[in-house]
Amino acid sequence: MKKLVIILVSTIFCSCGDDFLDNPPNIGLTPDKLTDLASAQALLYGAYTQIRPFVSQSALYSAGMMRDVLNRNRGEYDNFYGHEISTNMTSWQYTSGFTALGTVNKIFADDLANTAATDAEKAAILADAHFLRALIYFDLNNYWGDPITGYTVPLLELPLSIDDRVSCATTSELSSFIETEIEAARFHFQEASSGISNYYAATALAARIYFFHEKYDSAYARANEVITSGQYALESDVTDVFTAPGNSNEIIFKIMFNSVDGSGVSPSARIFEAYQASPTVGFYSMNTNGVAAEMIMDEDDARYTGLYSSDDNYVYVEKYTTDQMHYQYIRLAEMHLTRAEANIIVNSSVNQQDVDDINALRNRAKPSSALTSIPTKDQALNMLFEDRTKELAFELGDHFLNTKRLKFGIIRTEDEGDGFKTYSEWIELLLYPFPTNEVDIHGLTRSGN
Amino acid sequence: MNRSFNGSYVNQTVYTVLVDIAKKSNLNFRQVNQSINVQKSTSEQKLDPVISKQERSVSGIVYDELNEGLPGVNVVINGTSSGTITDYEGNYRLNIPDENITLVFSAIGYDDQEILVGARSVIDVTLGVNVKELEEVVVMGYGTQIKRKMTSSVSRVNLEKLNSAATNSFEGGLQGIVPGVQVTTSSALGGSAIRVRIRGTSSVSANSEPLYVIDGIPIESGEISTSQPGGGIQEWNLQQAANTNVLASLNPADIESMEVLKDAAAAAIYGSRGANGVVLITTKNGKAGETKVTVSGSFGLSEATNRIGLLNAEQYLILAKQAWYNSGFDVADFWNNSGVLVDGLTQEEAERTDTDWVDQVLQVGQVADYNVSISGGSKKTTFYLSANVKDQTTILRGNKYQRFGTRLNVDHEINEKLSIGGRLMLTYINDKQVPTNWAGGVSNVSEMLPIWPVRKEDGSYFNVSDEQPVAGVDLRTINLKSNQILGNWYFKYKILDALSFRSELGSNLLFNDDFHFRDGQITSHGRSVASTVNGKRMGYNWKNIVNYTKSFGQHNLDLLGASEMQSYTSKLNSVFGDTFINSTLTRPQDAAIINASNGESTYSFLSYIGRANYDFQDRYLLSVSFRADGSSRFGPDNRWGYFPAVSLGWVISDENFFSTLATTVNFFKIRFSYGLVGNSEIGDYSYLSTYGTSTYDANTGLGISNVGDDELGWETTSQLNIGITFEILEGRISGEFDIYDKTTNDLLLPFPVSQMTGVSLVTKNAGTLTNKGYDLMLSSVNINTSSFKWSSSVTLNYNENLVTSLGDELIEDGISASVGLGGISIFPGYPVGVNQLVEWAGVDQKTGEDTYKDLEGNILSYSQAIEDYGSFAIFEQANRRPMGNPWPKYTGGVENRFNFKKFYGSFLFTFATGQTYEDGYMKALTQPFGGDKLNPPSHMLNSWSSSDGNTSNVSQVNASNVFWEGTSEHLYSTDYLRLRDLTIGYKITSRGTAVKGVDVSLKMVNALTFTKAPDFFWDPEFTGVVQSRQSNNIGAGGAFKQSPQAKSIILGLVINL
Repeated sequence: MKKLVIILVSTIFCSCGDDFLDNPPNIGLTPDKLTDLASAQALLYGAYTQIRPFVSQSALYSAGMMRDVLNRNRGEYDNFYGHEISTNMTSWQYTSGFTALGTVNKIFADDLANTAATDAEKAAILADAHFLRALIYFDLNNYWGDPITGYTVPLLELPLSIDDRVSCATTSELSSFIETEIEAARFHFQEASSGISNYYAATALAARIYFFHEKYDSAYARANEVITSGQYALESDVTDVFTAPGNSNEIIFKIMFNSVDGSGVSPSARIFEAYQASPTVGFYSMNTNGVAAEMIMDEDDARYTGLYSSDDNYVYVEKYTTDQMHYQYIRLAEMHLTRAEANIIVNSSVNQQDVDDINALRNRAKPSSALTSIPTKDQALNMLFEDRTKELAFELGDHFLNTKRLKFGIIRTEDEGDGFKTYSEWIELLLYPFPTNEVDIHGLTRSGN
Repeated sequence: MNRSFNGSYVNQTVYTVLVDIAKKSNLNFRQVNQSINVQKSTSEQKLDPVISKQERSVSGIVYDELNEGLPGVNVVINGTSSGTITDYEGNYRLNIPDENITLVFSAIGYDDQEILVGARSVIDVTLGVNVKELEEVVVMGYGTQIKRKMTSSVSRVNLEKLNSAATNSFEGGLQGIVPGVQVTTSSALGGSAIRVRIRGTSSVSANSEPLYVIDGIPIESGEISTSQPGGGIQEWNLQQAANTNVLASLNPADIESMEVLKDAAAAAIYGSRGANGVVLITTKNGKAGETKVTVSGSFGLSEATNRIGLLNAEQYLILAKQAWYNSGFDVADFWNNSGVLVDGLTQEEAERTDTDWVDQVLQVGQVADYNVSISGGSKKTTFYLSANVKDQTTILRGNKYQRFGTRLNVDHEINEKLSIGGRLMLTYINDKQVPTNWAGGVSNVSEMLPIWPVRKEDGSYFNVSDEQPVAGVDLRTINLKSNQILGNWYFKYKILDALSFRSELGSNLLFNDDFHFRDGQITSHGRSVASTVNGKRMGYNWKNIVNYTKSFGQHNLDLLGASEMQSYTSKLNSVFGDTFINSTLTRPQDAAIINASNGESTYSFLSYIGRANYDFQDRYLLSVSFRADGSSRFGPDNRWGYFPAVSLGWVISDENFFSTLATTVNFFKIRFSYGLVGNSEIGDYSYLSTYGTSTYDANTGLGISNVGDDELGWETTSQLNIGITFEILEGRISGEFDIYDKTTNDLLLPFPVSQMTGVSLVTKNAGTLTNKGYDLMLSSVNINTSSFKWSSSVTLNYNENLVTSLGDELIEDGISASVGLGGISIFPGYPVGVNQLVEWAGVDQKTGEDTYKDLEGNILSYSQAIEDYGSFAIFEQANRRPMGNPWPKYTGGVENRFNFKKFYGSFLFTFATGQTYEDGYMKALTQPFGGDKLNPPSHMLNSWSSSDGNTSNVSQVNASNVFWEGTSEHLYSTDYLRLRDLTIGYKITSRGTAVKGVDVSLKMVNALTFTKAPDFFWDPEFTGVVQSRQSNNIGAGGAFKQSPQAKSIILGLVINL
């Protein structure tokens, strides 16, 4: 019996092997499994998911900096409204942008050339990957790029490992990269079997990029190509553009939302949450004393009467009446405005096509304001600044980017007094700081590395 | 002694054998818990029954404190060696020479009693309990030991000392009675979490709660439920610490004792899970003898320990108008332009409204607790069966917590060699929660103005949103239900006289079924949302122990070898519903949008354990242990960790040279220990790089979710402990004093990496953390007469927590943690969770502006800082430095106990000093008249004013917007001294009746609190801004939207049948 017990005890002590400690996760994937076409496609879908907060943050933050909005009850957004840009909020945008870039760059790090897929399938992958890189870097450069010193965010073309160290790129280097990327996207979309985005979305984004890079001939060419393609049409009623879920044929590229994606991840969720027409929830309403309001609040303009509402205290922006909708990233109206302005600048004069572009939007919003004659260049450019602000207000930060492009002044904060501060006064002040950790780890500085 | 006895004991019980040996020797035997204590008789009496030449005899029964017959009691004629021993049922019979003799009744663990016989022939006696502390059997990991032989630092707490009756969970009862154990209650919410730190926080990011082991089975502590069951994070409650605490499932009345293993030598037997200390809980066993039935119940009322001081309507309007004026506005425009008239409110309505929002969300709490236990057994089988119900309505309106539990403990001796047993606990919890902390409810009372009504005239909520405290509570349902099954089964086989084998299988099953609903009126998007969460956690633990105990002359040896395997799987399924067409629909299935999610993870441990306890003459003590732990949580190349420990003890009082002191100091022991323990509480897959899935337009997306580290390994804590144990004046004064030095290396840090990698943090071994301090425990019996006893005890711990290195020059300036406020960090040279703040230099009495000190020591006013730096945010970023300390330096308690005839009483004061908290919300509350409309604390009435000429350290109010800077202005000390427990009771016992005893008590909990915390803190006790118990070290120094705690008065009744 004792022997039996001793054998039993010995057996029990020695019965368990190291394999008892092998418990790989049943959920999620490890990097070594991301080797096929489906994985590359999934990475792209993942990146599109990751840019949802990135784009909506741009829109909200810039509206605050322009003081086009009143912030009712979100102290953290006062950073922008009060022109005290801290890393608390901007770090989120930096992180979400680079997170999406990291996902896209994983595709470039993998051996796509040797992946089992047709050339058209590979082209589709590359097209979306280049498109996303152009989109993300364009916005990063807009907010972190320092036009005075000429330095901007680091340029990463491959995933960054935790031990890698990088330095700031120059704004010219990054601008060039963005343009190369968007052209690469256009090239591959032409060869692609299909894509998440498409050729015209890339072309429209190219028009926007060139426009804000002040390469007006290219901006004109790309905008013109989109307009003349016949693929898209302006809505006759501007409010139809914003009818949920956002399938208007005026929209060239949208960041998608599908209810099965999960609540709380809608690309328009954050914007809707901010602007919703309620005095108790939501936190942004239009600053009736702001620059944009002065142009927008026109009772004869459908862009105001149809897309804004008010109560005794506030004027609400109602472009996003629900969070259950796509985020309209580029629409045809912008292409008309871009084509017109680019053409006027390139030609240094105004022609009938430019007037037609302006009138295309004025006729549907306020026919009485349609041009009946060809204005002077300066008149036309002033009109376009106003029309652009009215048309695209609170959508993607266009008012801020256009003000920056034109080096206009920005309304002062209460602490600074009345009037406007000049471009030279605000350009460095409103530059987004690098996250503290990035400075600590990489020693990032825009004053030259 | 070296005597041998011969005898044949075929089919005799141990009891019979011991009685026989006792009769042949001068030894007494006494069963204490699972052990038999052996002691020399106090006199050299021979314990054979005396056969007197006279025919007179006296008989009776000796009872214990519970009126149970007490076997093995020595009954001796005083001044002689004649006497007898009580039998199995406490009976004795003794022939006596005459009636003038005095009988002495004595038993180990009980007070002696002397009784003059007189003319009586029947004398029944009840002996009072008096377990000498040094003879107590202390439960160690995988075994037991007599306290006098212990060489490590272990504190034992029995049920009598456990003040858990009014805490959310049993571990709260440790507060103030075990030195070195810091206990912090997080909230008055029913069943909510309690933070426990043993000798400081030993980690930064890994779970720092001690390991809880119930009847030998390690238990997963933490929250039962998830607080973010679906949807955007803002849609839910963000109150992780408030979620139901797993440990609250254990009924405190079922606990026999708790042992707290504090030093590494004691905890190293738990290896990789012992770094935070270990709490061993032993539940009650039945005892052979008459079946005992105990019925108990208590009923209590409670209210908040403090009502925070907010402005009433009149005060608010005075201050708000003053702020409006100070900002250069015309007071005549106040009502129209200041923004206080919202949601259709008119000036007239506002002027006649005076809402006390605190009253709206607090109530008088009630708690009823009922227990029934039945225990007993035969010589071979003992059992303990209990059932309990707790029904609590807390001070937070809408919060209701119910617990139904039962326990069965059975032990059976099949034969002399083989015994078996089992423990089974079933608990059902139904917890209806209300939002607190970040989630709102009571924590949002400042969000509403006193000039705002709760409801409009039509009955709908005024200014309805998630921030409206009443609407936030009424329009949200949080119902957390859980079932827990905790069981273990063992068999023990005695292979040889000295060699035994025990195999034990334990299981822990936890099922939670949660329901959350938020009405569209309080969601950010206006749609109602709901979710159900079903979780399942299944763990098992199998250990096999071989024990060899042998004495060789004066050498005593106790060897232990064990293996243990443990596996734990968690699964979670949740269904989230968004948009309901009808207000009666609340289940996700009825929603327009339905999303489901699933989570699953598993971990396992494989361990080999060895320990040797050796002593020579009970005087020179040595213990050596070793544990090898493998865990699936670490990379394949770094799975195994090795945790050795050694401890030494020397009973100096047994040495000859000590004899001159021995009359005063009857026991004095020096202890030394050193050991390594580990921490593996980092989640299950941190070592792996993983890509998580997402959905884009109904297509599966991938994104990196974790960057792994193949080299990720154990966080290892070494601890040196030097201590003494002493007893003076025959136990009238006793105590322990320990000095310790704990160093945690290879900290599992949330190591900040470039966010351009796709993640912001990775888990990495880096850095060092120390905890140094001392524990003191002093007990005294001040008065001990037959009718009055007064005893006292004092516990004190001093602990200094310090991050000494972060292991990489790139983060020598510390790690900033994103906890919503952005200012809490880990810095070398400072405690974990220190605040990063700008130093506030007071209010400029000429201007009423706040002033601040930059890093060079220059003092700048608020406006100067903006002027010099461009913005205050930039000034703040440039001039922050580490300040404060979230961890108390001194903690402890003072307890006094009294017994006067049948009355008894006790009071316990607890205290904590040295800790500070930055109230991140105070900046908003002290600038409440800008865009955010808030009701500020009442001290704002004393803000600086140019007109009154008085000085004030509260800056001038104005109508500016809030900037969320962190400055030392809002860093507060929360030192406190609290009358934690005050009890008076009356206990009667009777024999021969159906009711053998009745105990009536009145208990007050948290009755008095003296604190340095400002009066706008609900309570000085809270657990910091990061609400998860698993990760609340980094954010421990920040307070944000706290919630109240309760003080209670409880009437208790115990009936023994």
